[in-house]
Amino acid sequence: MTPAYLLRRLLEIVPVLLVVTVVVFTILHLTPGDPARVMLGDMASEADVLRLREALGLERPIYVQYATFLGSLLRGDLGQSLALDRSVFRALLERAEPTIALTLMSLLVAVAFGVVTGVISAVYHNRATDQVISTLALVGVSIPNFWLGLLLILVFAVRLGWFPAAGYPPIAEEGLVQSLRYLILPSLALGLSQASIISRITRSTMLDIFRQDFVRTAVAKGVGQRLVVLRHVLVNALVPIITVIGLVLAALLSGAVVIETVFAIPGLGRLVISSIARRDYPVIQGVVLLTALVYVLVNLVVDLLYTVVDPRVRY
Amino acid sequence: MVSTLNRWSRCTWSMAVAAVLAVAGSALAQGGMAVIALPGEAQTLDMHITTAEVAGSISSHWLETVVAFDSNWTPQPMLADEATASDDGLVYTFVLRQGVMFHNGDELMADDVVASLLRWMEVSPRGGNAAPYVDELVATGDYTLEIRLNAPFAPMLSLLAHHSGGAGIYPAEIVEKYGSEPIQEHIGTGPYEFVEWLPDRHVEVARFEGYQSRSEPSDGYAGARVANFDTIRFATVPETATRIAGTQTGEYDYAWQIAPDAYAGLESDSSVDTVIRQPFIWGVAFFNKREGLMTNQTLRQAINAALDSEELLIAGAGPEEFWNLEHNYMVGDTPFKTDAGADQYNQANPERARQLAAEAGYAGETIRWLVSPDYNQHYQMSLAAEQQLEAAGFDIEVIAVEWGTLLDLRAQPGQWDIFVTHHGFVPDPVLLNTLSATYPGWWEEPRRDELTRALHSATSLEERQAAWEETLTYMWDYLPTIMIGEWFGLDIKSPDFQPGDAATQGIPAYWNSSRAE
Repeated sequence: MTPAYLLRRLLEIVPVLLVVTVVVFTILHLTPGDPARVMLGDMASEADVLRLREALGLERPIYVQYATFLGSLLRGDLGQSLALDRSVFRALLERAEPTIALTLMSLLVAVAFGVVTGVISAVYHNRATDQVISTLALVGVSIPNFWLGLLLILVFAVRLGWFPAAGYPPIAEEGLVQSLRYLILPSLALGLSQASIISRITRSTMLDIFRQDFVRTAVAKGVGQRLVVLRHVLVNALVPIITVIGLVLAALLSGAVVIETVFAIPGLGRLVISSIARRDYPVIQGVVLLTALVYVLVNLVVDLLYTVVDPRVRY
Repeated sequence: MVSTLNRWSRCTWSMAVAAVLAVAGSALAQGGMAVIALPGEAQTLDMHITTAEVAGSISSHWLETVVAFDSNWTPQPMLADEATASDDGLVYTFVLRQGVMFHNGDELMADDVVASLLRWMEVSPRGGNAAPYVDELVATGDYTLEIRLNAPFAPMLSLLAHHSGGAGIYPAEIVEKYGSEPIQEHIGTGPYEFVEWLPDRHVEVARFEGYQSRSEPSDGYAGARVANFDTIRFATVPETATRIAGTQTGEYDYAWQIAPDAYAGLESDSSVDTVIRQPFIWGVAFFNKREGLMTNQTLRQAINAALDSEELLIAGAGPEEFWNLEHNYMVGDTPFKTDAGADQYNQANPERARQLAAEAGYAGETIRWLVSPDYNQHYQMSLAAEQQLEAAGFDIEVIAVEWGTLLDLRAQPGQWDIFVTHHGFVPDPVLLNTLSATYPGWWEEPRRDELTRALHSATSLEERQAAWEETLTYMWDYLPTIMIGEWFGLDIKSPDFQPGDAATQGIPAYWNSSRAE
């Protein structure tokens, strides 16, 4: 991988984000609903709504509003929330910690459970262990994560009292261990269904590689099973697995919206849901832009990882 | 006629209160944090500009009003020690309590009240009801002020006492700083002071050590307010199952608005106590009287004749503990109880509906019924209504949209014919949206103006009751709206949490609440 390639990939982010701003801005302003009307509530008069719209700058022509937004964005300013009395940047920053922590923990759950069960399933393929794991994987993919979340709350929080039912205290307030304790059930709810996908991909890719000549050669030479599986088969299966993990990360980010609602976690997912209900356009735009940026960077990291796991890949 | 609020003997009641607290206080835990789990979040905490229950509830902990409702929904002194009206009902005089401190250390003065009430009349939907009657609002001394009217306005004190779009008293400099924009500095005189608002997480308030409580026993929102908890945290927990689970595990002391379907299971659950909140809300269908099919009164009567309100209430609320057939918009224990108009309610008569529809010239056009599934009760009720109306020969299109979109569509007369919502309990007819000419539905009619004028200008309770009876009779004939019936709310609490008077009355407030040891 050359620095020029890396620079080119980073520069390609700019037009992607620009397109995202246009699409999101357009969709938001075409969607019915008025931030002023939502903020003032059910009994607001038309005069009150108009007054607040003027105060919020919503009566300006749409191209003026977009130009203002874009100009601010180019200066690194995401604008001011219409409803939260703070900058969009601050609103995102306040919510980032729980979402990042939840996503990473969920990814850990997904990868750990997925790869391990996939390897076991591949090694013991067509035997009882494989059948059990495959069935569990199918169930995992089929269960909605919000339902799983509610089930986990019922069993582990209400009945057993092992974990809190909801919420998330910041690390600065409660410490790392205590804060992460609140994320155990949510990360299981979010990660286990994605683990099923990783497990299936790991299994099928490894089975393909088991049939390769070099694996047969290694076995014939007397290489131990563990070394064959981990050093020869799994390593060569990593490219598709990493690809799926990249896609899983995207799914985790979108799944976080639902799980944060179920577990009352004040993260970016809850922020975007409540901002949509409030029609808080600047915050919605900020969250979508941030998400788009994360997606693009994840894709870049995945592409770069290919060069690490497969020396034949060069950019 | 002089209308004077009760002035209770401070000495006598102080001793009584002290005695009661000495006995009761030993069994009540002081201090700690109470956590109240709410289903949604306020869009703003500025009490003046929003009628949302969540906002009114939370902000009432740091904002006080000049008068407050007792348990009989009668306004009593709060920040004012006296509120008198002149014989002709044209001048209200308020004498404020002295030595009441704002959370910023300043003393409450008449100028603060004047500034707050002027803003309230300008930006609040409730205050807007009073504004046309007010000629002048002036401070006549450091602690006295007058509201001078151009015509008698009987509901004035009720409007000043209500927390929804309420007349909370801010420091004058805060009012001046924010003008008509939402206030972001939450300073009042209440028993709790604002600490922080972390959106999507919580609003937190802390005991205000400099609070000057009234000495009378607490009674509804009136009388003594004691901050038993060090802090109260209003947590936003959108998922009902999570509010239930959090209360069962003790993470929440009190949780609002649990689905009534969960009642049977929760009643037998020893880890929680159930609380049925009544009065709570009532379901109502508004007709679009400005444009379209529903400008036809006979057609509105036809729709009304077809509806079986009992079925609709069951569809919306489920178990019988949570609904009540009621035709009177003034639900609950108010002085406005009457049977007037009851004969037109809950007819469940599809044949009569067809007959009336034919008289109205209805030719099978599609009637657009607007509802938001964000409120499950509205939506379930609407699906049941759709079936009833189609069985009576109407073509109904249910337009189900999320709440923000509904607010937008509702403001456009060409987009709907009937929309469904709920209305919170109100203690005075002046607070009814159903009487408004500007609220979507647009009851713009000279007879409405006459009726509301009579209601507002009546100077005795008997006159107001008679005016309400006449209004209600007319409403069930003209049908600007259809009252579906009452729904009661289901809350749950931790068994050791003791709600105070104001916690289960109308818009909840948690001063005087405590936790038993």
